[in-house]
Amino acid sequence: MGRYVLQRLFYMVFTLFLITTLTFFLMKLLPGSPLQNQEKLTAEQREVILEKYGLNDPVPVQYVRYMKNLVQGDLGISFKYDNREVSTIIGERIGPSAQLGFQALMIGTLIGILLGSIAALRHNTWVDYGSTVISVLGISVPSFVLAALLQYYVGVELRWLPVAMWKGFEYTILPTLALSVFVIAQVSRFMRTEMIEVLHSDYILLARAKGISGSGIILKHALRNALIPVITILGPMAVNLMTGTLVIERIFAVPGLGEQFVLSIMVNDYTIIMGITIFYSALFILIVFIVDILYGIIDPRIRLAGGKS
Amino acid sequence: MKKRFSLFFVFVLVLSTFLAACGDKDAKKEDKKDAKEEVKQVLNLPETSEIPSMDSSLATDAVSFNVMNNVMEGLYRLGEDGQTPTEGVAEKHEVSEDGKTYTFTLRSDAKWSNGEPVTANDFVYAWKRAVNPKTAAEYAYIMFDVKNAAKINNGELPVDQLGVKAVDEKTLEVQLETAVPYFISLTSFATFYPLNEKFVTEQGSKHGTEANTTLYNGPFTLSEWKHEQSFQLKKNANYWDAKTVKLEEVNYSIIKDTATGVNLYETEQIDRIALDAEYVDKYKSSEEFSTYQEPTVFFLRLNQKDKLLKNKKARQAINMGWDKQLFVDTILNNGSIPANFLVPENFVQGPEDKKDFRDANGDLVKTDKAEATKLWKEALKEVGVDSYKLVLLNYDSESAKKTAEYIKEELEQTLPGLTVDIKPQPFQQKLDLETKGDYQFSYAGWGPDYPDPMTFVDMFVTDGTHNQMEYSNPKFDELVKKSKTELMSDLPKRWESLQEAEKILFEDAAIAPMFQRGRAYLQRPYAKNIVKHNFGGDFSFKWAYIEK
Amino acid sequence: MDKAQNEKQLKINPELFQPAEYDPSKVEVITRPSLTFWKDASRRLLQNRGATFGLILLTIILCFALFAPIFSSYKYSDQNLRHAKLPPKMPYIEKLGVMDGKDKDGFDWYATKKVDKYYYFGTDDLGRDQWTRIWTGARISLLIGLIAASVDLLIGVMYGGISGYYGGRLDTIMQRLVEVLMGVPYLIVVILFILLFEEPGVLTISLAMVVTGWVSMSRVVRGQILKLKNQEYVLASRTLGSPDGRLIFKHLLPNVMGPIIVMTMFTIPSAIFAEAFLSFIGLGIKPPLASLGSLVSDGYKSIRTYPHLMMYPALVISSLILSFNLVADGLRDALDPKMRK
Repeated sequence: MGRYVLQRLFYMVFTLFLITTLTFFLMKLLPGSPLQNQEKLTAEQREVILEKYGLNDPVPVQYVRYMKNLVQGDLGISFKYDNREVSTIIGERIGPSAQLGFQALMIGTLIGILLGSIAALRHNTWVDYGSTVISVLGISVPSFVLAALLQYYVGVELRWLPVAMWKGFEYTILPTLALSVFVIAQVSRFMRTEMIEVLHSDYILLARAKGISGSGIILKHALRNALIPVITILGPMAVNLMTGTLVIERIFAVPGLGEQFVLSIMVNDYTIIMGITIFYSALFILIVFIVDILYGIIDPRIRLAGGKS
Repeated sequence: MKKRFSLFFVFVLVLSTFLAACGDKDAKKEDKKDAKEEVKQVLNLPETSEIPSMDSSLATDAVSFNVMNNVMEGLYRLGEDGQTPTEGVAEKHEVSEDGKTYTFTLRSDAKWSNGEPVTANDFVYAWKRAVNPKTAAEYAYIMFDVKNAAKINNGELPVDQLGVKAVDEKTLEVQLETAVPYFISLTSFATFYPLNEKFVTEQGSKHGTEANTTLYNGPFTLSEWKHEQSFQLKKNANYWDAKTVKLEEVNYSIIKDTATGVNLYETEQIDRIALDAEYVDKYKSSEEFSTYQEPTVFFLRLNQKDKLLKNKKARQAINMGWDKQLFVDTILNNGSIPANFLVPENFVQGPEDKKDFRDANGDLVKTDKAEATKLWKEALKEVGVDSYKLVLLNYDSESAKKTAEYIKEELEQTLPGLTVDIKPQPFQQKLDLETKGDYQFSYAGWGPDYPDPMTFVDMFVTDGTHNQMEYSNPKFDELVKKSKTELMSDLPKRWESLQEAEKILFEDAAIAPMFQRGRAYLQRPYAKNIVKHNFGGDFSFKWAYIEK
Repeated sequence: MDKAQNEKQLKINPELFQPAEYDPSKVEVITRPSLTFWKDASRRLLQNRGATFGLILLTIILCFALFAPIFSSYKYSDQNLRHAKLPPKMPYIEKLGVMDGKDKDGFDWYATKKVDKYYYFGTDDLGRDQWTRIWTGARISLLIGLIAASVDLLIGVMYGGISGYYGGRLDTIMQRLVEVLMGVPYLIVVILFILLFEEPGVLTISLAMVVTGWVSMSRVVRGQILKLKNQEYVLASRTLGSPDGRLIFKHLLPNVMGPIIVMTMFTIPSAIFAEAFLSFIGLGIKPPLASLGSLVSDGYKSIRTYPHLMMYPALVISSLILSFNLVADGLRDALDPKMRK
């Protein structure tokens, strides 16, 4: 196991390196420059500015320079936010995004697992259909519509919660709800499918035959086995949620990372694009790694290191 | 039986989650009551984006300019009527006979927010910094009227050759390249603001990135800056004219979505909100609703690299072939007006008669679909094709898309054989294609950099950076050149020459103007005297107050 | 006596012991109606009420998407600014007091603007018939969803299957590759894709979804295969000398069918939504063509002024996805051999 983990760590760094490289060159393929006032600049002026930022050098040269700085932990400064450091910007933005994502993930997973399990236990009854309808509505209403409706009815009509902005816990509730609906839908669908499968398997029948109580079967045997594919989707979902979602952040005026990222791609803010990509990828790789380890813990039959044997 | 138990277990869990959520809600209500305080001289406003920079040399965008206009001050500032320059740091100035040397006398009570006086040297430092190629200021070109500025920026001359000099602490002497008539207005622009050298050097690369790494000398200070979230302006006690300033606080929140903004307005969290077309119908009859026009003109660039658009008749047909009034009333619906010109309305007035540029030069194109069809057919014949496909390079915003869809449909109906393809691109990519001339026709806009028709007309000189469509007319070039040089001493004549140039542009049907942008907004009736400017920062709060 | 009586009751005679007719050719005859795997599956699918409902709904939507634009008297791009922003009005149904050309305040716009036509779902701000646009949009959305889902399915299942089955070094390499792909920001890839193909057509957008979309499918398949491949029946088959191909296609794949189908059914709506997201940030399908997603994201801005602009496309999109999910559930049950009753 120890050797396996070490090996994986090595691969993780290597993967991160590949992602950084690939993104850097892809990003440079995007047309346009990071200049803010491009519309009004003369050709000579553009040269002056591009020269100063080293953007006139060949892309490989820029790449090597970027990697050198990166190794020293320097992510550079933003083009759009003059002189602001990329690491500072990411540090400021990640907080709200992570908080929202975490809350949504917790609520969503919990309700999703419950909903999916109930549906499976009551397969093909109105309970099942009811939970299907709930989860389908969750994925069939676009998030911006849901967010807008929540904001309007809860925030404006009922005035129960603040409409938008980021000033304290109560401001997180509406965006968390809007985010979690999608999680509930995804998780409950997978949970239901898996649960049905597991409930029909021999070991559950055996457990029943042995006279283990219903809740015991579900908690000890069924849930554990049904969770595997759910974990598969939860990993990437967690990264996506916690690094922010543009739509929710824009509508609820949350100063998050998702909004920042899309914006920087749109304005070619190279250093920020790279910074967020590296951050996101590192997180993602880590989560995948954790999920793989979790596989082994939840289902001892899966032996990762051994391959075919 | 056992199944029932597990179901029960599951339900209890669900229930407890909901109860927890409900508990939160109760707590919130009480919080809200506490937060509701008596509103005094406080204004709560939305802003569409984070402040990109508080460094006056580096700033390039409307949001930064708007904040700077309220927390900093140049030699002059645009006054309560929105456009006449009034006293700023300078008390008075003298102009030499040839109009090329300005001597400013600075007021003795102008102070930075750290208590130090604002001196002539602060201006010299700031201006040199802005044109220094090492600074890479994207707005450096606005200083090119100052002697040697362009050459310094291109690296041909050292920075100390800039035509600006501190005669003493309180006297600033400025040499200009040409006697531009609008120089006093220019000094109200952010790039011309003073900077405290000691402070800026001390802060190094952190200057202008946080509220406490910036110095202020305007009616307000930036007292709090939570990036991407909110910022706050507070009355500046050190401001020389502090007695005029009535507002105590302006709280800005960053709201990017209009619907969210409207909801915040309705729940009384903000005092003003700009509206999209969708909301105008709903609020049109409200007394809190109004519109204003900006001096920004949108037009179609007709790239003459294209073999059909090289044909003048084809360009005229595109100019005449669609209904602008209906478009402005129905789709934009925000106070925009149809543009049949390049230099916008209510932007500049004549040097002598004070008549609006537009009044004098009138409409230069008109919609005439029958004529358009005729011209188009002739154009096709002359070029030798039966049908033609044009790709319209477009912005990626929702309203730009709607506009393009409308124009496509209108033109395709009026101009037989025409197919228009719409190509929306992200802003930077669109600009890049335009710069390279890699497009057929495009949806473009232009706002003024200084209060003079030249800022518009200059765009289309042969091989000009902003021409981008291979338009060339020697007569036009000549008129522009004259207006920039010899006619500077005869302003009424220069005025005529600029009007003549605009006419030529339309005789050639070089561009197809669309509309002059308007803005619709809601504002609380108790918020008074927020001054709107045509150029530089959008609003001034120096004279604003709350009256309930 | 007892014995005699017994003999009387049990009249056993040799005739009772005739040899049965034995025809070796008939031993293997199947007397119950023969059902192939797929026949059985479809039978069970139709027994599932939810799935049947889903199928009917899906068929209705498909029919509308196919035929409504053909029979409509408007084209999706026909504009009439004088008829802009009209509320829905449908013949016959208008008598019920809904879709009668009145807005939410009961104001009859058709009378005011002197319009004597029917716009079933109203008109948008360019005066285009929403009915035609929604069903044309449904076509586009379905197409995007189907293309994306089928390419996802193909690549994802193959990739995940191979990676999970062979494991070891190959798995490690393949999984690292997946991580690289997922790490590269999706939006950069999409923008590049759109620029590469000059304009955002249906195919471009579908493919842009696929570039990184198949990854989640492959991970689900891999996870399942990892779980299954060491199970007894697979081991047994392997011991009996089955080649890898047989193991994968006969034993493993049918058993991961459930998650695959659920995943595919999620791919379709998520592709439809991903397109809506692209519209939201201004990169969606090329106007004036519309997709359901772009119509909803367009209409969402008018949610409080002209709710019909969002409501109807949202309704269609929701029904579409509802039906896909119901059918998917039914299919899952029907295809799973363990679920046979």
